[in-house]
Amino acid sequence: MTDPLPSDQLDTRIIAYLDGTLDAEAFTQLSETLRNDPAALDRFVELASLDRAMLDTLTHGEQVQTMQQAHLQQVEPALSFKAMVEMLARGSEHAELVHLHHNLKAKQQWTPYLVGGAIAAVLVLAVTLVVVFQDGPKTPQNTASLPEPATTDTVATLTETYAAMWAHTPIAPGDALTSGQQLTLTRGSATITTNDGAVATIYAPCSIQLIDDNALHLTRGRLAGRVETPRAEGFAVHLPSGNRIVDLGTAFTVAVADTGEADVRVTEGLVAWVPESDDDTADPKPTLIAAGESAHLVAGRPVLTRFDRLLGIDFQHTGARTVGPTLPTAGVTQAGFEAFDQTQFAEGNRASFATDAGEITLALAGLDRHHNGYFTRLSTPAEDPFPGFDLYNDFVFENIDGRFTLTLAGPAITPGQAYDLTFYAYDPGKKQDPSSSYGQTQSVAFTGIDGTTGQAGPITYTVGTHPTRIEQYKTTATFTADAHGRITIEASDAFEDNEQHIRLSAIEIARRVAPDNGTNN
Amino acid sequence: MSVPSTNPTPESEHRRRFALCWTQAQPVVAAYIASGVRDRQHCEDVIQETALAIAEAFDQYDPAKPFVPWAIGVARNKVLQYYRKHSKDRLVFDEALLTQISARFEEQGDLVKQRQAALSSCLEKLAETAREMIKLRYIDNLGYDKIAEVVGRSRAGVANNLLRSRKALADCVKIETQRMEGGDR
Repeated sequence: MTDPLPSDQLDTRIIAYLDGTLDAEAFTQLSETLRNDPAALDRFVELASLDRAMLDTLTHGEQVQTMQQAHLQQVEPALSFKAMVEMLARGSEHAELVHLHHNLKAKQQWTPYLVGGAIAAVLVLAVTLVVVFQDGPKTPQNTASLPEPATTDTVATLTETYAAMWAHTPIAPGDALTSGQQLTLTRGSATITTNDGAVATIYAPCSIQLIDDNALHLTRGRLAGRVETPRAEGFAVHLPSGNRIVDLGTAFTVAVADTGEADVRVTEGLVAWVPESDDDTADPKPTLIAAGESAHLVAGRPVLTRFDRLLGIDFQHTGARTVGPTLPTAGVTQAGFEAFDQTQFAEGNRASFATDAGEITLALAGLDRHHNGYFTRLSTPAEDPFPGFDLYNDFVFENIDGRFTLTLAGPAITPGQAYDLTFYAYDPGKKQDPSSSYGQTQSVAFTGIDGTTGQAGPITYTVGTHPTRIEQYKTTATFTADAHGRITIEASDAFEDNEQHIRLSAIEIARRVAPDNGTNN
Repeated sequence: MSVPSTNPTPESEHRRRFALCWTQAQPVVAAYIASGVRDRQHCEDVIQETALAIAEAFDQYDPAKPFVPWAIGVARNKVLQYYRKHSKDRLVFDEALLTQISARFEEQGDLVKQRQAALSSCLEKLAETAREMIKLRYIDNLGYDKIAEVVGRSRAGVANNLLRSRKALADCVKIETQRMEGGDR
C-alpha cells in the first residue's frame, strides 16, 4: 500500500499519465489515490475527457459531427446492416471506404463528399456510418464555381508533407486523393503525385481541388509543378479565371492571389496558357511560356515578361570550420555564383559585385549577433545527388528574432524597375550535435519593405533532409525597386510558431527586359 | 439510378437507431477508452473494436435503458481485453479501478459532451505560445522532448507550460459548462 497522493500533486500526476510520462511508482500512487478518493477520481475523469476532447476538437471532431448530423436526417439504406457490420469487421481501412464508395456510386447518384484523406480509425468508423447512411443525389458543397469532377476515382496520392496543417480532416502521406476532393493547407507544404505522374507541391495558405488523373484546380495560393515523364505531360492546373496552365514537360510555379489573379513562372521547359473558351468547338489559342519567362494573367490575357540573370550570390563561410573539400577563399564558388564571405559578419555587413548592368551592393542587417557564422557542409559526396549543392551548404541566418533584412543597391538597380529574385534556403544540420535543430522543420518567407514591393516564399525544409533537386528549397518572385533604386527585403519566419530559426543560402538577381504585352503569338 | 425510398423499412429504422445512439455516445465512449489506453493508435483500435462489438450486439440493447452505460460496459470489456494482450505494459489500471472509472464516465456522460462543446472557445483564449505547444502535443502527437526542440525551450519548460494550459482549459471549460447549464434553465 502506497501513501495517497498529496492533493497539490494530483493534476500533475494525472496529466503526466495522460501524456505518457509517468513512471511506474508514480502510477501506482496515482491509482491508489483514484481508488480511495472520489474527488480525485472525478478530477481524473474531468481531465481525461478534456484530453480526448482536445484531440477531437483540434484534429477533426466538429467536421464529422456536422456531417453526421446532416446525414443522419436522411437515412436510406445503401447496404444491409449485416454488410455494414461486416465492413466494420474488416477494419474499414481507408481504401475500403473508397471501394465502398465506388460500389455505391455505381448504384446511386453519389457525391464526392467524404471519401479521401487519412482518417483516424475512430473517424473511419464515424465516417463509415455516414457513408453507409448517405443516399440520394446531393450537391457537392463549396464546389459550385469549380469544374465538375469527371469521376470519383482515386486520381492522385499525397506523397510528402512538411509541417502540414489542414483546414479539414487531416490527411497523411500515402493517402489516396479522389476526384472532386478539396485540400486546404493552412500551414507548411504538401506534395501530391497525380496518377499520371505529375508532381505538384502546394504551399500554405493554399486550396486545390482534384479533377482527374492529370488535372487539378488551384483556387488560392502557390503551387510548384513538375512533369518528368511523358505520361504526365499535359498536366493541367485550372485557375479561378477559367484559364488553365498546361505543362508540356517542365518545371513551373503558379500563384493565385485572393483576387483570383495568377502568376506563372517557368523554370525549365515550356508551359502553355490556355484561355477559357465558352464554345467547345472553338480552338483556344494557347500562349507558350518558356523557361526564364513569367506571365501575369489578368482579365483573361497573359502579360509575358522575360528576365535576364544579373548575379548569383552564395553565402559561404570561408573560415576554418570547413568539414568537406576546401572552398576557394574568394570569388566564384560554382558556375554563376559568387561568394559572400560570412567570416566578416557584422551589423551592416556589405559586399559589392560587378554585373553586366553595373555594380550591385548587398548589405545585411539584423543577422544573429550571438554567433560568428555557422558552416555545415554536406558530409560526404554520397549525400550530394544534385549538382550545385554548394548553394545549400552554408547560409546567413537569424536564430533569435526570426527576421533580418537584406538590401540590394548600386548602379545596376534602377528605381521602379522589376527584378526577379530567387532565394535558396536550407540547413544541412549536424546530426551529432544535440543542440542543433536537426530534424526540425523550418520555413522562411521574403517580403519587400521600405518602398520595395513583392513577396516570395515560403521555403519550407526539414533540417538534415538534403535536397535532391537544386530547385527543391528555392523560390522566385518579382520585386520592384523603390524610388531610390534599392531593393529591401525582409526575411522572416513563415510559421506562426516559436521556431524562429531562419536561413538564407543563396540568392539570384535577374532584371526584367523587353516586356511583352501578351502579343507573342 | 435508384430512387430513394420514402418509407423506412424496419431494417433501415434499426440502422437509424443504431447510428443515432452511437454518434451520441461516441465522444463519451472514446474519452473513456482513451483514459485507459494511452497509446494513440491502440486507443483508436480499441474504439473501433468497441463500435463493432456494439453494432453486432445492438439487437441485445434494451432501448428502455440509457445507451451510454451499456456502450461503456462493452468498452470496458474491450479495454480489459487490450490490457490482457498488452500485459507487459506497466501503466494499466486493475479491473476494479477500471470499473470505478467506467462508473464515473457513465455518470458524467452529458458533462463529457458539454466539455467538448465548450472547449473550442476556451482554446481560443490560450496564449499563442501555449496554443502552439498544445497543437504540437495533440495534432502532431509529439512528446515533451520533441516539442522542446521545436519551440526552442527546455523540456521542463514545455512540461510546465502544457500542465498549466490544461489546468487553465479545465477551469475555462468548467465555467463555460456551468454557463451552458445556467442558460438551459
